[in-house]
Amino acid sequence: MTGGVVHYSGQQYLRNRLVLSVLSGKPVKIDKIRSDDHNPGLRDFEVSLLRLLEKVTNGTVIEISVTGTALLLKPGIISGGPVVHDCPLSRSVGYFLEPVILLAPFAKKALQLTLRGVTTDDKDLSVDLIRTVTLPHLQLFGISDGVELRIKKRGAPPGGGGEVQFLCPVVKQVKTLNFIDPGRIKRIRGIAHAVRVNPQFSNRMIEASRSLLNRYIPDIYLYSDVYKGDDSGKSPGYALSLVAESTTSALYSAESISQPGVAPEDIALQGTRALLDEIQKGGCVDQKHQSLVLIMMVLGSEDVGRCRMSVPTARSIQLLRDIQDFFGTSFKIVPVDASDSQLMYSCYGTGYVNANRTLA
Amino acid sequence: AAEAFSKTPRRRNWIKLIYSSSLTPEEVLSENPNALIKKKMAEAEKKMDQDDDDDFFKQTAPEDKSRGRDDMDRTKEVIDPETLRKWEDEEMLESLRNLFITGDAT
Repeated sequence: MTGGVVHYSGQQYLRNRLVLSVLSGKPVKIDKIRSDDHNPGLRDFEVSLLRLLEKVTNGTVIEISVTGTALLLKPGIISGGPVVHDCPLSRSVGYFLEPVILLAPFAKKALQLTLRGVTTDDKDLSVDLIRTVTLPHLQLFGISDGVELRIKKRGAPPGGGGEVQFLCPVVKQVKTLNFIDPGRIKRIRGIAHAVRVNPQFSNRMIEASRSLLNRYIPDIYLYSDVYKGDDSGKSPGYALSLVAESTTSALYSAESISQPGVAPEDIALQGTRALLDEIQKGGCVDQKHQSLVLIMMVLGSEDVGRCRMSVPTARSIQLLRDIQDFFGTSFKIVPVDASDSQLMYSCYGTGYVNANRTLA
Repeated sequence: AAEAFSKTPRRRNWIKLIYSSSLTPEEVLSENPNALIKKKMAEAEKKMDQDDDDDFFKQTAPEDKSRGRDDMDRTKEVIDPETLRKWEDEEMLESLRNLFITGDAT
């Protein structure tokens, strides 16, 4: 760390690092971005993400080296307001939305973000999971009224053509999290959608998924979401997103998306089994949302926040280290019981206050 | 400190592995991270010895395995059909019953 600049090498974990930089106000320098690759430097979606960060902030300085293998970001303030962004088709809008969700509550003005592109892919959270799982997680931290994601048009890869609108209010501070009882699962919800293919595909997925889930619980509602005409994007595709909710509102999610040459039934079974996998891992937060919860815990008020989760993913491990670089906060992570598969994560919040917020 | 580590081979000291080891995240999650720590320490020592030789040309470090992987910065883990195969087993499916409100209280 020289002059307060946090320094990393490599393109991995780029999004979390950019988010931490903007939140903490510390500049970040990243070099050796695919420097040994045949095609070195930043990818189109990474450059696009930097452009998006420029749009939702004010005064952010981004310098990218000529070869694209190094970047320096000096964060400005998070400004919010109405923003429109066209995402490259190489990644879904989830890639762009995930980091923005962490920044939006701390903006100067409520964010109204319109993103266009691919709405569901196999790499990042689909818009359905963000709407039904990621955004409800913000409630744990006291961010609830007015948080909304509208799926106006769907867009399957590779053609995209989807459009979503994300609305997020600003908050002064986030609440300290104390989530230690995972409870037991009381209901399962799901969304099956099919665009530019036989609409029966979504029903076939629902049927197959139910064949596995019906044994556990009667409260299952899998919704078949139909988009027609222009609202269904430019490419054919279908997917199944599943959410299991516990008595204490712990959410476990999974999804699977269409692959060429695989029957809808098999796609559905894959997604359903992935959900069972998440349920088995347990905890109060599923693995896909560890990052979000860990970052929000650090921003909590000056008190000890606690959350029970399963073992950290590789991403979470790196995130924990990065959090220490930016905020100086380290987590205490101890097993809940003898099994070693359930861990209690606790940390002392930094008492982060939204200094950008315009006072009414 | 190395001895204290090896006494509890199965239980991981997450705090130590995450905050005070130089293992990559993937290595922390591997079967036996403590063995890797020892290996790394041995390698570092070996490197120190080599540094004494005044060879003008140095071989660059072999490509770090973790580089290039997770290149995509993806949120969803890759769904591996092999690991999901266990859910074809009736007993496995039954083992989850207690996690639902319809199951017996444990």
